[in-house]
Amino acid sequence: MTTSAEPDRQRPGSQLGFRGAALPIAAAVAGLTLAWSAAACMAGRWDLSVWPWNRAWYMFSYSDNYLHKILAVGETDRGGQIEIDPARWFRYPVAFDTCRADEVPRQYPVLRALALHLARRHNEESPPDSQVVRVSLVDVSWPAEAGRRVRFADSPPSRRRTWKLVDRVSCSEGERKP
Amino acid sequence: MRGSTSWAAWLCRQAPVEPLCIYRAGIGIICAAQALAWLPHSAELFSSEGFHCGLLASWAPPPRVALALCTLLVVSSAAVAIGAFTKTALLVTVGTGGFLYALDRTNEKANSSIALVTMTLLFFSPCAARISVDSWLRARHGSQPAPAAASMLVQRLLQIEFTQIYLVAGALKVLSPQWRSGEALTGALRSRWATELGVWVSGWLSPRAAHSLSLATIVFELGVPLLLWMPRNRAWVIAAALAFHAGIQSTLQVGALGFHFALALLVLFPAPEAVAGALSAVQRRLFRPRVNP
Repeated sequence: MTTSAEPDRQRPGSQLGFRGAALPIAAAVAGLTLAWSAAACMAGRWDLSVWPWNRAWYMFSYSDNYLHKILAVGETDRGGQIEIDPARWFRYPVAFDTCRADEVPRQYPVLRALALHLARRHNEESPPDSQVVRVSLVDVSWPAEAGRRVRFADSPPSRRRTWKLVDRVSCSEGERKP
Repeated sequence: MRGSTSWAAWLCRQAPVEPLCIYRAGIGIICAAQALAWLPHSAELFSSEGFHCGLLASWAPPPRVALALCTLLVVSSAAVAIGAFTKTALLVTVGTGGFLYALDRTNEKANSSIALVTMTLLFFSPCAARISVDSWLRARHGSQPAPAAASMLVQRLLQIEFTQIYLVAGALKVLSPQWRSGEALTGALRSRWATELGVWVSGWLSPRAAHSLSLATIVFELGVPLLLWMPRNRAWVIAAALAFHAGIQSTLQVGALGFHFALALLVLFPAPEAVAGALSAVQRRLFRPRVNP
């Protein structure tokens, strides 16, 4: 609230519709959270930083020099194994030979939810004898070479590394959003 | 006391509104193009049919609603671009875009959060005062035109938003052994994010050159935020920053990030009077009356 005769347009923020202390408070909160987030990230504690500041600071900060693909392997009730390719449902192009499923955070609750999601999508579209009752998720990686790109399909199996992310989760456990 | 007054005067000095209006049009175009690219994949990206891991993942709507929301985002962003019902369009874009953003953080891009922040700030600015349907309608109805000058506060906040990204990203790179050694750069150029050009560069870029480029990137990111505020250096810093972003954009798949920065560098950082003058010159050239022979 202003009481002086000073023209309103000369007051900081007055043209923006802010009143009283709203603008300084908003600016102080933004500045403090920004400084806090920057300090947290510099201390290696990204988890303590806050949105939206922490989203634009880490572009291309890490690469393990491997390309990664996530595959699901389902088990039928007769013990047979069926490979489930996430690319059937994840069609949005993310990067070279990469779909959104390959980009999910490597955290167990997220990966487990992804495995169950893939199993559900597979079962919805498959005949009864191809229904899966358990599902596993594996990360297959192959070297990212300088000067040339190799797709997963063209990568020699001898150069692939496989890492099990989710092991035989029962599809009856149900899908929950991570 | 005097210091705080001069600080407030710097933050809120009266300046032409054209930079904010051009920025509004540009960011509207960028966001509309982004939403248009999402549209064919709306079921996978935003509906309960797809897989999501975000704050509001469990709120993912049915595919038809997701398609409607994505279409709404295209329309509202386009409305922001042309300045039609600008405040409402900004509100709808931030609301819809924010909701879709919160559904899923898989493959999250920095430019999404940058767009949300900048559009929120634009809402509090007179960004529809020029080159907008709103201003055209106002003139057509004989209403008084919006003031030619307004407080620079929102423009200053936008400038701070972009400079802090450079500064903190640079500081974090200083702390990263991969960036200090150049490994991060060579890794990025051969990663899934590299463009064909980036992969080609990775084939002949020597470790020493990669190391030098990494260090140059760090120095640049730490220096730009300071140099951009100095009017004497601004022109060449903007030119160098544009070259920097053109290099990133051509070698790495960063979505619309380069366009966000290029727009900000070209419109928000030069003197507002110069931007207004340039716009006026363009308008005179485009709309000068034709003389029949």
